[in-house]
Amino acid sequence: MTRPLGIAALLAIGLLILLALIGPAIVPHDPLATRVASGLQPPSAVHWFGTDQLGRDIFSRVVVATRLDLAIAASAVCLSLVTGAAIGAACGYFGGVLDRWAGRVVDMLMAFPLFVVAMALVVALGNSVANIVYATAIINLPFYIRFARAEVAVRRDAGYVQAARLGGAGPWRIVFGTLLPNLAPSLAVQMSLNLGWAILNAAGLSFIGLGVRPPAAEWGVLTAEGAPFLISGQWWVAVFPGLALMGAVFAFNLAGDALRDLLDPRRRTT
Amino acid sequence: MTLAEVSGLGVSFGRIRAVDDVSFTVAAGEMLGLVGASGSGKSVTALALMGLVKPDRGTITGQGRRAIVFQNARRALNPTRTIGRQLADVLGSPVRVGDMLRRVGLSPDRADAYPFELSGGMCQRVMIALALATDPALLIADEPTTGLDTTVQATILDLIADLARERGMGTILITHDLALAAQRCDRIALLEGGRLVRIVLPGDLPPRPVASPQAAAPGSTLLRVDGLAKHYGKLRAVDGVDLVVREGEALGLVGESGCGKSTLAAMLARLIDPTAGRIEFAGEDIAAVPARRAAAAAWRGRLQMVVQDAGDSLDPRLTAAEAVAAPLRRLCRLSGAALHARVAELFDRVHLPRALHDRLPYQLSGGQQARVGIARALAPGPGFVILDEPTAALDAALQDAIMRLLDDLRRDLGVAYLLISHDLDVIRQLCGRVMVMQAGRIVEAGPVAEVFARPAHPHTAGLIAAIPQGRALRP
Amino acid sequence: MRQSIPAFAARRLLAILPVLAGAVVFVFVVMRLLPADPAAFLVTGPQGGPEQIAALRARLGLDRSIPEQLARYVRDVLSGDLGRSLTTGEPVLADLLQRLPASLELTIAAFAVALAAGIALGTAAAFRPGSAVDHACRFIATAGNSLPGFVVGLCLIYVFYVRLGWSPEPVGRLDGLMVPPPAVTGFLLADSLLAGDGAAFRSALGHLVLPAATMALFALAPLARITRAALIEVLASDYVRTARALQLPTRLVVVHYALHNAAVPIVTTLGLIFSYMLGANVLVEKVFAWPGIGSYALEAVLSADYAPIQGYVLLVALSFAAVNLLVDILYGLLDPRARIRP
Repeated sequence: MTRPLGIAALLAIGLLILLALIGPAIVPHDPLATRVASGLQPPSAVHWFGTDQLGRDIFSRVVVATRLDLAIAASAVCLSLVTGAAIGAACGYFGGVLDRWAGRVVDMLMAFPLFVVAMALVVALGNSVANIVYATAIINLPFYIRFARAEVAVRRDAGYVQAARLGGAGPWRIVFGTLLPNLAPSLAVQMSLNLGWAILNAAGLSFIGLGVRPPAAEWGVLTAEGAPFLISGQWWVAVFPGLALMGAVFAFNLAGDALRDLLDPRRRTT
Repeated sequence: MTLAEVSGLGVSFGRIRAVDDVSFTVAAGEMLGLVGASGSGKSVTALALMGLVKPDRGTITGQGRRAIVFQNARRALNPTRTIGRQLADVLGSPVRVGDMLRRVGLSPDRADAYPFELSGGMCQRVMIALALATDPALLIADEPTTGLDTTVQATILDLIADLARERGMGTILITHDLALAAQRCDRIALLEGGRLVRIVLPGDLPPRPVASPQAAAPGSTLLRVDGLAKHYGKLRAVDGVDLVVREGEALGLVGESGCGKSTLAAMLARLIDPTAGRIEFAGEDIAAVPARRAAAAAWRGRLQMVVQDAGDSLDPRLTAAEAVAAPLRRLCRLSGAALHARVAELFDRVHLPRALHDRLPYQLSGGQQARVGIARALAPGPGFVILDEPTAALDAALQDAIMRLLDDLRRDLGVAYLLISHDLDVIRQLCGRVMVMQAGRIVEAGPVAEVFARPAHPHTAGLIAAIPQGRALRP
Repeated sequence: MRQSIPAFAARRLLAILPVLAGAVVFVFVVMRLLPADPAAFLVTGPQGGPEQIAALRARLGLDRSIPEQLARYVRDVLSGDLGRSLTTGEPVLADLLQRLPASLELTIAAFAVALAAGIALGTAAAFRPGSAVDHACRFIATAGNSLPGFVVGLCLIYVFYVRLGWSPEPVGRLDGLMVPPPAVTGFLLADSLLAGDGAAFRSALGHLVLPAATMALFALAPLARITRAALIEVLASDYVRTARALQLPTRLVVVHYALHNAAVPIVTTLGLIFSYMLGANVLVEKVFAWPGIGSYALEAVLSADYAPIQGYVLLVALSFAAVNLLVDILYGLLDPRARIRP
């Protein structure tokens, strides 16, 4: 089942990236233009996803939100990937004091539910979009550190590493020239699976009022804005942004699974 | 009495015919050998006998119960259940558990142990007890000694033979080792590619060719090691080793797994730091340079090692040519056409077709991988090469070819070897002198022929006795 | 050496103490040191002159050295003084304890449902690979991982409350006008049963169903996935083959050879799943206006009220540590190899 679904997921991700790049230029309505007179209209040919209480076009807002959601998630994941993989690989290869301290910090972070850590970090650092990125990056960090550390520790005495040392390669060249490139495929899988998680996380933070704030369009914020109207039957205000969020996360998770199966047929689980 | 009669047996998995038209019989009190390379269908035949796979052709008939002893006993036992409970599961009650353990040479108070608390040999004894508990008329032993040390292998096979004699049981011994089968079995069925080639008697097999012992070539001292030790906490992996390697000679180092020989090799190759001791290479104390800085040392290119397990020793991202080029680039500062020419020359030296230059490791066969590993070690032109189990992962025919290649290279290039192996046969083929290692110490050393003929240390004698006679035979 | 179960449990308990100490330090660093100046944050409005800030800094002890602040903070935490909430005016500890049962009731209900459903689904899939159940399991495992809890909650509200009208208004734990049963355990389901109040029990159950389902859905996916993978691996293992070759009774093989060994990886992921659920709690409590510690923390977050947030984070770390301790002990019970003392 993986192959066609995986291709569909890749196509969906392509579409998301395209929307993130050119979305604001192609939306049918100005996402910020308010017209209270035509507020809370159900989906129609003019407003595909309906309008919100201020008469803003929900379809346009959902499309425009793609850029912000993807940008937050991607920058957070890249940040934690680069730092986490470097720290983890160094810990795994050199061991010693660095490894012990990094291990302690990771344990400390992991002693909390990570969403709660992210909440606390955003509150402490200040309620801004940049801090959502940092908070998401920090709570991702333990996974990359542990992953890179474990993979490097397993491989540090592998035959090809010994051979590289015999061939005159110094420790740094081995970590960054031999070991990390060999981890790249599995790191890519981690990253893809992680992107979905990062999107969920950032949207969750925005949903509870941290980070992105109205009137900026972001899926979590849009869902939160629509929630009060759900009870009175205007479901479209909250549901469409929620579905967009769900679809994006689903696409990244599927792509990650497909990528893993492709790279490592033995570990096929789902 | 015929315990099993297999006729025209065929088993397929999808389109693969694992077993194709195999027929044989086993009688009470008889030991039948089922011998073949991996993939020859011998294990599938066993599973079919046990009813664990469904044959799609042929019949299996016979009287009495059958039981099987699998290879790698530790994995074949439930890891989260004590061995006593597992025995009781089969017996139906815990009453006779102690009795059964005693019969396979285990103390009854071991019943509360979990498999991970027992050695590999003890696990295999438990496995045998489980099989016996079903009161079988026919015991199938599927590679029962794989992964065990040579001395333990012999005791396990003795146990199976004794029990079979006591109970008048028939036995099927499945192995890839023809010499072993010839030593133990009454009749031997040779399998190849899922088919039965023929059934022979041990006496029909030709005798073992006599190995040609080489005289130790006296040269000047290349490597001198004094009091070398490596301790991990309380464990003394290597505990005070002295040795000398002379220029151009091949020195063998033999010992069971865990005796410290790989640790010794890693220290000599300066991959890890010794706890104590001195390593003098070409007159220089190379132990003075810490292992993490050894990569930049001037002698790095002259002291090389062929890393154990060729498949694992090649970076999965590098092609064969890149793997050989990497040390040339860093240690010999070669580049461009000179680099290219040297790589090509090395490929020729180890008889690798140049067409394989751009293959990735997974696209190479086991023998080709081994050759790439040898070429890489020879690349910087070393005077001394450590060979750590260079043929362990290869099958018999390839082993021979690689051994011949190594011997030729030594003569042509005048390079000295330290050959590490758990297999005395390999040492006998290649080396002039041999050292025997046990528990971190060298217990015996001398010319190969002398040590083999008159072992001075009981451990050496045990290792020699454990080699099945006529191992050089191939099915 | 393999340790006995009590010795093992005691050692695990000791091993958790440094983690908790680390958690306290972490909370101190994040909540006390990172904010540019909490006092400036707190004193807003017209009376927030420099003198007031200085006075507040002195009162909060912010003018002292960092080790001294940490020492005072640790002393306060150990004596149960988590400060006062600026919003409710009550001690944070009292607030948290009063709201904890609501969160626990919700989390435990969801966890139980997810555990039962996830393991059943994963087991069914593993025993019949390639069947419809297996495909459903694989789909749920991936889809469930992608579901934002708050979107699921909103959709459930729309379908079951707005459209079908099956479920009560998604606000709180009881109908608005109902008098809660006398608090004994704090769990409404238990208290209403103890009081013999059938109406309150039905109302509490009705209010619990949707939020618990939302959270359960979240935890179901990883559970089904790991159960399926673990069982498939175990069923293909050498020791299950041995058991079959020895013709042991099927029930014995399934329970003691397959399920017992498959339970080991399942149990070790329970901690992680519980941690997800504690995080999801905040979102679900917001969606369903559930009066638990998550929504309490959320109010504090939005009004930059630091003491309740600190208290909440500490409480969550403590409960997570307690769950991990339980998981460790369970793991030690299931797998003797976990009890090896190096």
